[in-house]
Amino acid sequence: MTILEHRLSTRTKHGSGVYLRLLFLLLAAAPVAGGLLYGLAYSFGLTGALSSGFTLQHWQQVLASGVLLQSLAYSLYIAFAAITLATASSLFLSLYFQKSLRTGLLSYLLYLPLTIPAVVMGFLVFQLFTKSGLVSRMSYGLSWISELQQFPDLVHDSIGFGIILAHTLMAVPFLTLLFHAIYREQNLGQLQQVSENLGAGKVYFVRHIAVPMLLKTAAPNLLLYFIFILGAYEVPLLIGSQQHPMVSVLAVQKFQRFNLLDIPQGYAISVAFTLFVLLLLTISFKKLQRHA
Amino acid sequence: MKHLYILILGLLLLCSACGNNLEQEAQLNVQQADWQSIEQAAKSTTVQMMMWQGDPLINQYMQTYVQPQLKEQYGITLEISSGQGKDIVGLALGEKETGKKTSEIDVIWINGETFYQLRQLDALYGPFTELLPNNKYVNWQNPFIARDFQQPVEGMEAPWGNVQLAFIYNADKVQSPPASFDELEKYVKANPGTFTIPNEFTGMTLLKSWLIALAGKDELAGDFDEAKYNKSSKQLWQKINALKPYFWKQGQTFPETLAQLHQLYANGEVHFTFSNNDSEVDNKILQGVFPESSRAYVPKPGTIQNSHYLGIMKQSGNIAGALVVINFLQSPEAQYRKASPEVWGDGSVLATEKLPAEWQQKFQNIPARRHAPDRNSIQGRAFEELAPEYMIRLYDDFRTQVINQN
Amino acid sequence: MLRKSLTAILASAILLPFLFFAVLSVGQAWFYPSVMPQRFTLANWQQLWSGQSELQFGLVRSLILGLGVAILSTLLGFIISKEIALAKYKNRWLLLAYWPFVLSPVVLAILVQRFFLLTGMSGELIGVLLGQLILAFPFTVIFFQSFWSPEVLQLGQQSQTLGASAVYTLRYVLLPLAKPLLLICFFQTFLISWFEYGLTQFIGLGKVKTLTILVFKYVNEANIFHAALASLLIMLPPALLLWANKKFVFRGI
Repeated sequence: MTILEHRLSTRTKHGSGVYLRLLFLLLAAAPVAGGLLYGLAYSFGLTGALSSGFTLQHWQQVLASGVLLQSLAYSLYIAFAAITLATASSLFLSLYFQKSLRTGLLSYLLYLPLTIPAVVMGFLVFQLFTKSGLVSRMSYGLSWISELQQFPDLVHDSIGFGIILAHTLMAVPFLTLLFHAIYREQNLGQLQQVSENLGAGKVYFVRHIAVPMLLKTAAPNLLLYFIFILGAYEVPLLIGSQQHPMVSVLAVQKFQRFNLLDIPQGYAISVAFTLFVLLLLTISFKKLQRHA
Repeated sequence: MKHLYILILGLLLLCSACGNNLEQEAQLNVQQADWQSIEQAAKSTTVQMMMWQGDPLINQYMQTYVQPQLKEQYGITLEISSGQGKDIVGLALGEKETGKKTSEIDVIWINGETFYQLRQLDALYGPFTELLPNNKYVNWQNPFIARDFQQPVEGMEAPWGNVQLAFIYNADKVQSPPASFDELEKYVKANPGTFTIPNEFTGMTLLKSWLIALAGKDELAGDFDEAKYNKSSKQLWQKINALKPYFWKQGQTFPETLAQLHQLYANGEVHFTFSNNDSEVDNKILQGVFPESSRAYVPKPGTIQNSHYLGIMKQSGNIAGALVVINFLQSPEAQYRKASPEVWGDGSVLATEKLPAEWQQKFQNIPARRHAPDRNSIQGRAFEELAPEYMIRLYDDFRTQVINQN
Repeated sequence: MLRKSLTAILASAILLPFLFFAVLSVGQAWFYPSVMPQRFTLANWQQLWSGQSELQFGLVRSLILGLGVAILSTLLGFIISKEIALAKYKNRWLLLAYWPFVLSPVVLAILVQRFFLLTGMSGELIGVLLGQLILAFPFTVIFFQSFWSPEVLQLGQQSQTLGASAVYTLRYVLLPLAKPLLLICFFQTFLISWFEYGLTQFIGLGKVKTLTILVFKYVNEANIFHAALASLLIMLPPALLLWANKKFVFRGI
């Protein structure tokens, strides 16, 4: 405590700290806060070249028509499905390929997919899984299908197969490496030996010790990743269904429409989504902090 | 640390300054000036152009011909950025709301509802067409050129090309294509999964043609009429929703871009694609993108013929440069080159009989269309564009009445 | 045996995107149902090296943005994170840092777009740089929190008590200690910029054509061969860096 006080006193002497904090606020908090305020004003008709004074009409349109809620529900579904699939696969990979990940081939290879951004992943999944894509061509070559129409709808589909797959593929290498790092950090290898010495089987160790421990330690990262997928833009833009736009796509759609009167709705959706994410963040912030 | 802070602050100020200092530059008053001094003022400037960049051939025409020619002939650097009508309108609105004095963009490629909305925002510079030397060749007598979606152009935009919506089909897979919109319904039902409508400009033009076919040729002419629209659009949505299960992917999704539909067509996923440009089929075959067996035609009773135009942003910082660029794009040489199927295949907006003799000859000998319909034969099946509100409503209603209906 | 074949499957799945894009980038006329393109050409690659090509400019632009964002955000983050670590209500400050970090970049871009128009920064490289900095900088502040442990802070304090200047302390005590973290942070913020699409499109108005913008443009004109080449250009540089030193990504938590 005394060290802290001492530090604080030197800080006021220097005074540069105030500027630094100001700069922090300017770069990190001001854009979000300012944007939110502007978006709120715009969505209530308080500003904008075409506005005619305060109105609740835009919010009513967004909420009453159910577009926003549907889109939010769909985004939650996609994010939940993708993160669950990715977590399960990564747990398997990190535990099953323990050794190969440490020193073998995979210790190099698994880093490569980290270099694929969302735009490219969307393009890739499209080229692989569309009806005329590579997989369909191979199926044709192997005579599994006799014409392209028989290939199932895997992109631009209502259940979001393509989007979920793309996000899962992006998350798996990252999460596998994360779990692997935690495994080593927490000395789970040693723990396994101890538990085996005490007579516990391998299955018991994986199910009751390794998996819970990995999940618990990685929980903040999983949550953050969940939020990232929730706001995903490029992938659903490229391979999503138009019947069910994800939130970011919906916001942009409303924002860039032929009908200029839709723009306030675009702001309303952006504001609503921002508040939703900030709420989610605030609720779970304590958890995040434990393992920043 | 303080230095760093000051550095950043300085950086911020600097960039906000660089946005503003251009505003003060006095521009040549082009309305009073002669053409020579306009060209002089445009020399060694940069002109920003925003246009739809969804077609590789068009992009190539701009990159390999227009940009180098402008550089060489007028010392102008033309920079092109990608943006469709909605992007341009959004930008204009944003610039208006933030009180920007100099626009980021000078020349824009527009027509119809974009033109209408930009005029509502008072975002267009003009009238300017009379200032252009090549304006004397433009075929203003043609109503398909002089009026843009029922709106008189009034010198606020300069015609660049003239095209008609055409159906493109694969003759190997479709022996007798539906000759009319009525037959189209039967065809779609008989061949499920092979037809779709792109949810973008070309698709909306298709819907509009269908709407006119349902309502009768002159029924929807003139200003927007809510009652008439409701009546005929209701019919249209009924028909389309009845067909929806027979569309590609059971109508659960529609291609978002024309390129996407072209790709589906090229790979044989669907048997029909469309083009706002009646001769596009030839250049796509030449490129090897479409199969050789592709053919284009115009179904009965007809499709929309329209023109596309070039406009200047009101707050453009380089009006002289913009004028020189547009004048060049309207020149016989640029129009002639653009009309060749292997370059772009875009219809000329010039009146051949007004041109100097040498050019008249050249225009009469434009490489023939091979698989595209002959221009004269489809002229009888040309609908004039409707008022822009129809397009805006179709965009909205196609989403709410068709896409979002389960 | 099972393990071996699984490893083989995994390895080929990982290499597939690279091979697939490599083949497409030299391909022409890829009609259904052939698995490989019908013709091969080096034209796309030659265009890249011949100069004045869109892709070459895009590559340079992406590099400038990536390096700019990485340098600025790493430096700022390192210095400011110390200030935050010392703050009385540290957690509240950190909560603020998470704001832009968790928000969808494109939604953030919608909200702040008017500001960039107002200041004349939209459509300019500097505007995109600042926009991406807003995404990357808070990340660095959070990232460096683990560095400013009580021990490190005390060490810095001691050095100054012993008469070293603040600059000296930074340069000879703190920076060497933080070097591995600085490298990771640099690499990661570089990637944030290198991979960005939504915000770049919105604030750059499509005028600031980075590699990701070009991928999208080519996809939209159904030019898969160019799109594949642009994708490779995005993936290869970080892949090579990672191959050379995978420590860029994880610090063993």
